[in-house]
Amino acid sequence: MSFQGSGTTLNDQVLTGDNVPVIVDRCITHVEVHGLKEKGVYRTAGQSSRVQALLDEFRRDALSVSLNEYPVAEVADTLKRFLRELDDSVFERINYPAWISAAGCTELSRRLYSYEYYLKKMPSVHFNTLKRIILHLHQVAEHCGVNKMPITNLASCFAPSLMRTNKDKVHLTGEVYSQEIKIIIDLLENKDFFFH
Amino acid sequence: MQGEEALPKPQRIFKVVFVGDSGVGKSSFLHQFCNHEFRGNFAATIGVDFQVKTLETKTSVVTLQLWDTAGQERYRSMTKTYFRKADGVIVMYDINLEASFTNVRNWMTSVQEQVEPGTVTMLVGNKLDTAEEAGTKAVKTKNGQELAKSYEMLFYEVSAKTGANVDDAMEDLTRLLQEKEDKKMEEVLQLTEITTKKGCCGR
Repeated sequence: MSFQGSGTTLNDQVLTGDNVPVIVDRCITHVEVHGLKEKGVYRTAGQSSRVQALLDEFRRDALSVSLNEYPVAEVADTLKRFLRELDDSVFERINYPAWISAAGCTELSRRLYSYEYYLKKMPSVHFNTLKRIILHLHQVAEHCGVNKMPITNLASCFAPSLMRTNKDKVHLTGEVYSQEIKIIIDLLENKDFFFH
Repeated sequence: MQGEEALPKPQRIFKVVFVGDSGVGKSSFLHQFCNHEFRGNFAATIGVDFQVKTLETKTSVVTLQLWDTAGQERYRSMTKTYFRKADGVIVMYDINLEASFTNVRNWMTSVQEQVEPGTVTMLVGNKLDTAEEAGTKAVKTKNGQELAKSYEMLFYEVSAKTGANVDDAMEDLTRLLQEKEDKKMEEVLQLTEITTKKGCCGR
């Protein structure tokens, strides 16, 4: 029985009552409590080896990890690395081209309805994880006067962790990266439309 | 040869790639070097961006292609393709942020995997102004020097904000890039001579 949820898909994780992986929930809560006013939160990297150690600890037993001693930058980086290293990303690989093409729509309302359509098709754990992240990032952005992380910056730093193409070897252009970021910006700016 | 003085100085082109953790000040450093101003806009770089700066030295005109990369880890796969054919690599950290210095080793691993041997590398500690204001340096100058030495890198502590040491660092790098290229050219010339001679002897 994979009771401890050591797998590397979102569904394999130990989940909270809201169907969000415990590791995601705990990292976010830590940043909510200690990091909303930290300059460069989610942009500043943690020390790589310590981030890896924390991630390993979470993977062994997410519930018993104590975050008290950890600086915000390391916890924030751990969350981003956990998401990036999943076998399948929060925005599922198989739907990556669909999302990117939806982002190409110039008309906002059409973009939003396309996103909504794809969000409805997301597996529940993926959707709930994304919801938790977007609502959290929005809260972080509200403190951008202090933390210097407005929505655009947060989207640039977070999009790479949430989106993965199916073909890793493909040389992605800057243009595709901008589309990824645009999706996150759209979700953040219209959070009430998607996550009411 | 006649009219040697009238000849235009030879044009040199060098590709230099900037890497380092997110937020250490790569773009600000580049902006200070190219435009002599500090742009405190905090916008994170996406993917890769580049700028060109021309310098005139005693012997030649040097065009530096400066490739600014995003520090976010996922963009590293993209960064790697830009290491190819790089003549120089600058690895940057924030003097006030221990983790960004510790992570230099990881960046160097990526760099060493990708670049050709003989590529000029420089370690740059940025945000010297903040460190001096605070009166403490999280990363001591000595530690920077030692790390640079172990990788045979040039080393500078700079401030992209005030411009301190920015030009000095880049001039030193440019000088070394030229020296390396001169040496390479000489070697090629010597090789050609040897092969020509062998050809003459009919061996």
